Amino acid sequence: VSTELQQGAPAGPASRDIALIDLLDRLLAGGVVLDGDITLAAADIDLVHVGLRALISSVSTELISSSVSTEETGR
Amino acid sequence: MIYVYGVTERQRELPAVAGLGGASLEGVPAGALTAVCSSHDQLELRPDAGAAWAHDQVVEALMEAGPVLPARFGTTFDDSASLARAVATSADSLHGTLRRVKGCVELAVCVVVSEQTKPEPASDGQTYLREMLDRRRAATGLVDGPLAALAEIAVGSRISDRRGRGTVSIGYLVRRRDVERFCAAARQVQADQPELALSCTGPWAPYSFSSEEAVL
Repeated sequence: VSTELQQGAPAGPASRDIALIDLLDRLLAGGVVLDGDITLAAADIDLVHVGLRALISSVSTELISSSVSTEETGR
Repeated sequence: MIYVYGVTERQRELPAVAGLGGASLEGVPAGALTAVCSSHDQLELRPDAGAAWAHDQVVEALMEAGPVLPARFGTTFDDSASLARAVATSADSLHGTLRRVKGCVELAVCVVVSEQTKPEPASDGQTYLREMLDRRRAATGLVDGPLAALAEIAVGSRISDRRGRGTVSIGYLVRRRDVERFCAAARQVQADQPELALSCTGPWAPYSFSSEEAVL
């Protein structure tokens, strides 16, 4: 199985998924915690993590290619 | 209800992007800081792709203008006064963290170290803790070992505990001018060690480096 890290490769569905996982991972566990309320229900977050694990395992069997993603947000 | 995207140094102009549900952005000043938010009568927030990209798009746009500390996804306040108070309360640490991430972006590296994807549930608390520790140790070994070339370029790194077994996710804080060099190093690491399934996404806002304790 070959893996490639292609810079500036067009973001295909797989790399978009990887970027989304990386983002959700950071949104839910990172960021500065201000003394407000977190409106997400814990159940939602658990669901997301189940989803993330499922996704990453399916990605890993196809093999992760792609690198610096050019997401639709223009990065 | 007020939804918060992030905290920046004092902003005169907000970027021309829409927030969640197309809401317009507002800046709430607090000392020399600005909290960027949007007002909502009602907000059903789910951590799905749409909301995630919407939050990130605002944070990205803010990052164009200067350093930004993204807020934890889902952070809300009753009104702008309580938001301003919360920011003012942590102003010192927010300033310090902003200084630390200035000129930097986060690059996310994910490594699939094994195909074992179905962890057996830990039978008791002790086993669970031991497994957590083992995973942490393995991840640290990866950062210091096979991925060492990346840490040399980065200003800092942080391992995420959120992924399942067999997957290690690391955030690297990298100076903007070093992003190309970092990507080249990631490609080299992958070429030298084809057994690692490596992905690298970004540049992101410094999500993993936005709280004070987030230093490895």
